[in-house]
Amino acid sequence: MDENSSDQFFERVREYVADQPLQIGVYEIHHEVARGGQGVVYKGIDTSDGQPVALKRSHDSGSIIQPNLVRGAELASLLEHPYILPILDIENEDETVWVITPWVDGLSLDKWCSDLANDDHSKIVLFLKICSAVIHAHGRGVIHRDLRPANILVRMDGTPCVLDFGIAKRVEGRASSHTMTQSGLSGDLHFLAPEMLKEERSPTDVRQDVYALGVILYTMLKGTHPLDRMSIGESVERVSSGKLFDSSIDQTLPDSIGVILRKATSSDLNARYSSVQEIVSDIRDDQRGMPIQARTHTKGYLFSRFVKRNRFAISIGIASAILLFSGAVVLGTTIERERGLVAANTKTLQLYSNLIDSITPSSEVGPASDGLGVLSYASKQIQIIEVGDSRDEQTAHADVQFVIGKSYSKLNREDLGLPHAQRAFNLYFELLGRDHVKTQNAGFVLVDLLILSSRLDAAEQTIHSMIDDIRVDAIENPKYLVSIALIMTQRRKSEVALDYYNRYLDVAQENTSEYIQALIARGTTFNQMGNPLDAVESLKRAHSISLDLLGPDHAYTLESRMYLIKSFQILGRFEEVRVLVDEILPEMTTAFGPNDPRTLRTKAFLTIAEVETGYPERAYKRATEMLEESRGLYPEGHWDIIQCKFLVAHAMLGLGRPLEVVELLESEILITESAENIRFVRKYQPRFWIAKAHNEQGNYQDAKDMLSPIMDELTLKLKMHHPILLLNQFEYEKALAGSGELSGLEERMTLLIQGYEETFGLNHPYTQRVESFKLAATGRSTITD
Amino acid sequence: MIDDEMTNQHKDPNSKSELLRHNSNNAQRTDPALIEAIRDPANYEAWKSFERRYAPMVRSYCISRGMRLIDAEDVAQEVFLRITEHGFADRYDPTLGTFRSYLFRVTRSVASVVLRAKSENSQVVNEFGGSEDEWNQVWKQEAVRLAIKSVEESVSGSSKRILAMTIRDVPPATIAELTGLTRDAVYKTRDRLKNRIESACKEFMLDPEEI
Repeated sequence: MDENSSDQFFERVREYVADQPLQIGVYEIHHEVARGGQGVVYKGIDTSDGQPVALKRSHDSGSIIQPNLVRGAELASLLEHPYILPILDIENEDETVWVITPWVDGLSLDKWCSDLANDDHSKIVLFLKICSAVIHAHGRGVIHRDLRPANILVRMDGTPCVLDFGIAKRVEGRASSHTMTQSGLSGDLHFLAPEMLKEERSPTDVRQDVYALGVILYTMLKGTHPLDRMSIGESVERVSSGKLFDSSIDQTLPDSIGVILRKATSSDLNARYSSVQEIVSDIRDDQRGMPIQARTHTKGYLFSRFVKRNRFAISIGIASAILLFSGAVVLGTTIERERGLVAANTKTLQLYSNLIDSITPSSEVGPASDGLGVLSYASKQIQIIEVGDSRDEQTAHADVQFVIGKSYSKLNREDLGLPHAQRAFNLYFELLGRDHVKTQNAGFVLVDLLILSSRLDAAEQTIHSMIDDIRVDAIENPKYLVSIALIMTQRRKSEVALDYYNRYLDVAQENTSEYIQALIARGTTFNQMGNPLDAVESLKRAHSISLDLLGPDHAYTLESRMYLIKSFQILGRFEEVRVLVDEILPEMTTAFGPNDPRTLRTKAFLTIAEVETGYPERAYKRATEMLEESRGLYPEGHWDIIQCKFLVAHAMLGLGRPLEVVELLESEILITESAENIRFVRKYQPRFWIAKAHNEQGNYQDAKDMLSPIMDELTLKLKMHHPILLLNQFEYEKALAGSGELSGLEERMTLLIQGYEETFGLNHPYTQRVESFKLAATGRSTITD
Repeated sequence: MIDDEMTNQHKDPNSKSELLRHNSNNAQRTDPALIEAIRDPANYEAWKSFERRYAPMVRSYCISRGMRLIDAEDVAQEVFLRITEHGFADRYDPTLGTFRSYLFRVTRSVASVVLRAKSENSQVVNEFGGSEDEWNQVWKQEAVRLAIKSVEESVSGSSKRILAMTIRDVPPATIAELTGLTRDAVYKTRDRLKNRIESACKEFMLDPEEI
């Protein structure tokens, strides 16, 4: 290591990085973000308040686009709507006009639909919001004329932002299908109404926007445009002849939406909806099962709508209704109150009372296996019960679904709880509204279950639907902050997660218990970020406050210690882990019960530490006991069982019994690789342990065969120095070297060691192990300086 | 609860593609390879990555010569268009000079044309001028800046913090204090970062010796 050389190098480098950004008025331009037919967009900041802004300018100061840009900005500034991008400023510098707007942190509509939206319902909700923005513009006489997915951003809170009024038209008063204006041909062919393609173009009216919205809704739901892959000639032909959609549209879209789309995009202006409000009304009516304007109201159709609205009431059996009522009464969180409201069947009441008693995990015991059976029975009952149409019945039904979902969530059975929680949330949302406490509670249970099952997009989406503004500064409710932080942690967006946890600390100041929880949560995030030292600081603080104010046996005191141990594990200080766990384990077993996930996790720390510090026999004994216990708690194939098998495998390797590892885990490969919704980092773990065992046995070719098929995918999907990638890469290198493939080994090992140093730290036993291997394999040390 | 927990750590998946690209650039796609790749006009990906990498140099050079941002962008766009359309394979001969020098000649020529076109209606005809020394100076500045940015995006945790502080001239002893690392560890990391910056500079056709 040559200190002077790197000192001099950085001294020279510093001279080059003094950056002078370009300035337009009070705005500083940072970098280009998009370039399109209309102009270039840059990201920058407003130096007066530090807020991020977008700066847009046309390509050429002399082009027709520049007046468009200005006119569009002027028109947009007439509008004031949460879903329309406001104009902050218009700057003129050297004959170039710059339009400055707030920076929108979001995705284009099509990207949002393909990447974030998880169901048609959320897309339709978003579409209705877009419509409300367009209705607002029409109300102020502004017709957008260039509505398309690229001109609609979706913010991270799931709200849309309509932009680019560059070719919009202003009409006097309110714009309607009767107010028209002469215009040239503008806009994107894919979203351009057929009348605009005719030789004698019709004057502009709101139906142009109606048409574009119809096509947008189609692209949102289907993910493609009906004219995709067609030449311009074919596209013009299809649009002009009024055959935008082919005949299959009705079969591939949700009920009635096909009909609404046809009406919105009709080439006959008189047959098209005459306002955006009419589309909105039809979609809303369709959702409520009411007849829609777009469809001919035959008797059969009206009857089918009636049946849809009242299907529960029509098919309900008296006995099952009684069962439902009584079940809901008991399962509801406010049992006594509900008892007073509804006459309950005593027998069923008893059944569900027992159910609640058996499934509610107390602080003494972990997952109650008996409770699963009763829950499963309740779960089946609720599927066959038909529910009446009245608000009370529907709410009672939601109560039952909620309690079942919540109970499964406590048992870590996301696979079983999800449908119930989802149903409860949807029902509450519809019946009681978004902000009702029941809706919110069901939402949080649903989010927990979605996170447990790694369906992070859906979890985030659910939060979006529960709250107006998901931005960190806007949230006051700690539950949201924790949920979002959890999602971000799982997405490996630890920096973002940390923002939410820090905010959580802010809002939790007044409440000791929440404040300690926030400190613990922040500590665990630091652990995940690979900053165990910062984690130690946060966790020590949590531990000290909890110990003083809540006492030594309180769950938070124990949990903060548990995560401190985790920090030591990350730091590779296995001796300390062993000593600390020995101290804390009896207390945890007493406080939480032997099968509580926290107790099990602490046992796992101990098991790993014992293998790493030379006590594999003890580790093996404990790991096999844990495996047996988990088999009694979970079905075969559950991740908790598989993890216990990894512990056993780890211990077996410590005992020098690699052959048994292969036998133990061979069948798990199929389970993890064919599982739906499994987290990617878990998918190939059986292969890793088996390859490790092969390497230990000297079966390098087998180890290579085990890892070869997955290395590309791991490299592609995981970050460069992700620990899972590093661990697999090391085993793979061992396999290659053992099979005599030494070419390039030294260079690859040097890079690998860099990765280990960065991820695990310089003095971590894992890093030292990799360095020793390199030394042995190549005869050269990495530390040449 | 076990390995997964222990080893799942940090990092933003958003910049994964950037990292992979960085990684694959390091490992396989050396600059001569990229220049070879763009000899095939149909290799769209290579052309895009070529333009992404070198357009900032063209833009910065034009701005340093007093051009407006809007004109500098026109020049950058036109330079790469011209290289594509005029048959790069026929025009660029590595035995006659470096690619950087070739790009300078194209840039100067295009910039003069753009300036002439812009001043068509004006009485004053601006001459673009410019020397290769100035070009090299701007190139160095941009290449170092981009190299640091690319290293910054490829590291995380303490390395990222050490890089940020080193660039801001924070003394190693203070860095050690702030990061909780030993001074030795800080020096070692800085050394590694230096190597990475040097290797990234090469991607932007800058010999680290030139810095």
